[in-house]
Amino acid sequence: MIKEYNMLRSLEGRVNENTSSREAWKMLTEIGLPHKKSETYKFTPIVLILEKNIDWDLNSKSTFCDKKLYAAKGSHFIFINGVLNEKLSQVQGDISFAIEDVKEGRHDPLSLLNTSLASNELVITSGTESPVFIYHFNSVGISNPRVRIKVKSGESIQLIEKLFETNENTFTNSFIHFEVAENAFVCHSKVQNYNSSTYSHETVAANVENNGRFYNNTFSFEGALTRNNLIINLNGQNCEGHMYGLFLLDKKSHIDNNTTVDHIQPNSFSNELYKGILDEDSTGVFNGKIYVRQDAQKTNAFQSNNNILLSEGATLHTKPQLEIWADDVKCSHGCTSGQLDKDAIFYLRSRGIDYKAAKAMLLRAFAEETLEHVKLETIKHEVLDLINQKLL
Amino acid sequence: MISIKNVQASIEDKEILRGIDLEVNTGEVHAIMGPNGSGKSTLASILAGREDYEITSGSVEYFGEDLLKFDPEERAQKGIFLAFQYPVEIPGVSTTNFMKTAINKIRESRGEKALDAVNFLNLMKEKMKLVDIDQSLLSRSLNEGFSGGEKKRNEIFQMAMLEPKLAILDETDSGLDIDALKIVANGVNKLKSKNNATIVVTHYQRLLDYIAPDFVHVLYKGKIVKSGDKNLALELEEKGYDWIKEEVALV
Repeated sequence: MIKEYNMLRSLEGRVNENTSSREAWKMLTEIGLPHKKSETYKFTPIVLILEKNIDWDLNSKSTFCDKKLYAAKGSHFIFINGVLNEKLSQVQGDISFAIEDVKEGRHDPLSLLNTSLASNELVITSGTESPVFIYHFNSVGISNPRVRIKVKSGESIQLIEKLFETNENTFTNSFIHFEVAENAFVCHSKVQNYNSSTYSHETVAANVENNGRFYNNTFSFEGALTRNNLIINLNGQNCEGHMYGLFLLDKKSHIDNNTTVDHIQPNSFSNELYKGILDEDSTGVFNGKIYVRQDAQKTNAFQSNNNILLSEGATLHTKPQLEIWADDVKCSHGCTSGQLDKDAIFYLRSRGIDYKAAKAMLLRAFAEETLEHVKLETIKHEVLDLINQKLL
Repeated sequence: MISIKNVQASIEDKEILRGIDLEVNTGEVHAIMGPNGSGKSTLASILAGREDYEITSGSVEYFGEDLLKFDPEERAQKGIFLAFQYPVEIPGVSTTNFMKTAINKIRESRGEKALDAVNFLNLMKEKMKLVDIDQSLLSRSLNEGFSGGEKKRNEIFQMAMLEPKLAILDETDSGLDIDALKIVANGVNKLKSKNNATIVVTHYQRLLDYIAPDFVHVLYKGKIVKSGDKNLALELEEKGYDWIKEEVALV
């Protein structure tokens, strides 16, 4: 507790002046940052790690590099150390944006921290043009990018997020919120291939209204510690929430995917598939919550998490969590974890394919299922390339 | 081509093969028959290089080389093919992709260039006819959801694609109805030449009506206890295995 207190105190001087930030800070100092016994951070004791590793005083210039941007058409928003850089950003077509004061956000500790420290909020409003790219180039101790995406009724947006840490031992605490209006569609994808001293806590929250659809694709490869909080509130009827993820880790990478889908009204659908491949001394955590409220009759909710462990040193924690108050619903969940299928390896080898290639072939096939819902070819290729790089 | 001498093998300290001697030359078809648990599938597996078995003594020479020192993929690259009794289902990998990778790995090992898409497709088409297999089946995940007959046909299709020097068919007839059996046997017969050899492992004589063996061997308790021509298979069909067991008991 002393440690947490010290950490918060060291940040106090940076809390934003506006009312929402002040209030969030007050709340945060009351509840504190999640300690190691906190249920939702049990396997990812974030405070301990941050205390030990982050150089909070570090203050260096960003090393923005335009070569790292996707060579795809669309709007590009560039954040440097958590703050939008308008000069470097480029907006295409009728996508519009505004920079607003931070408003009240979620009340979990890391969201409160973001609300306290984010200097402002980028609000992007959908148009007919897509995709939209958001890049983060972070090189100071802690960055707090904050974005709100408004997708108007009947419109759609494809959002691709990418984070680059350009200094060692930096921590990003991002918060991105989607407002998905009636009949609107969102596809949000991110590729997390950080380095071995990157720490990040990334919150993605979506409110989905009648007939709205929200897709999230998260591909994680490397990082000292990555925590993804994904929260989808299906507020309306006939909504859809889709969550697909792959984590393919080695070294000492640690990933924690914490997802929540909340079915509030009748006739909604959610589908979730996360797959993990863990090698060397990596750690993977999956926690998938499904809430089906009393009014949410005729809900269909499916969840599955499948994992392959390739080494003795790899660790996996997986936990499905279903809370259902309605009585006329279809829900299923399942998780598996195992090793490579020896018989399958032998079968491939008996046809002339060497062990390494056989292993890569099986793992690639296993992983590729999570790519089915990625619309943008650029992202698909990037992920496939990363999979091949890691496996061969 | 292959010369198996006094091979003994065990799995988890359980002795399964107790000294196998077998000589197979190019152009020959050998049938290995025997009651359940006699070690037929073990013999097939160790020739293909399955690592679950420990070979405790004996040697296998294949074209003058010590076969046992090679990995399974090296054996395949040198022309050994095992048609599995239970082909493995592999989700997410199509037969087409699988075969393309396999063929090119084998070609690579021989210092040959990879087959281009056109040549590969032409080869596929030609071999598909041989076992009467459908394109749609080959585009699906390997063996996943295939019927027993489709799996076995797929094995023979793979064999046709890879053109092995020594094909080992492990109970390829099990689970096949008569029509599928004819198709599979027909495929095997068409692939037979004076430059290759086939070892047919089977429990029943049924398959041998269609694939005529030059030699028939009876495996019992880990040893070849009797060898003969195809008439031996007929005799087994008629009398069962008991008389063999009795003969062995007498010795």
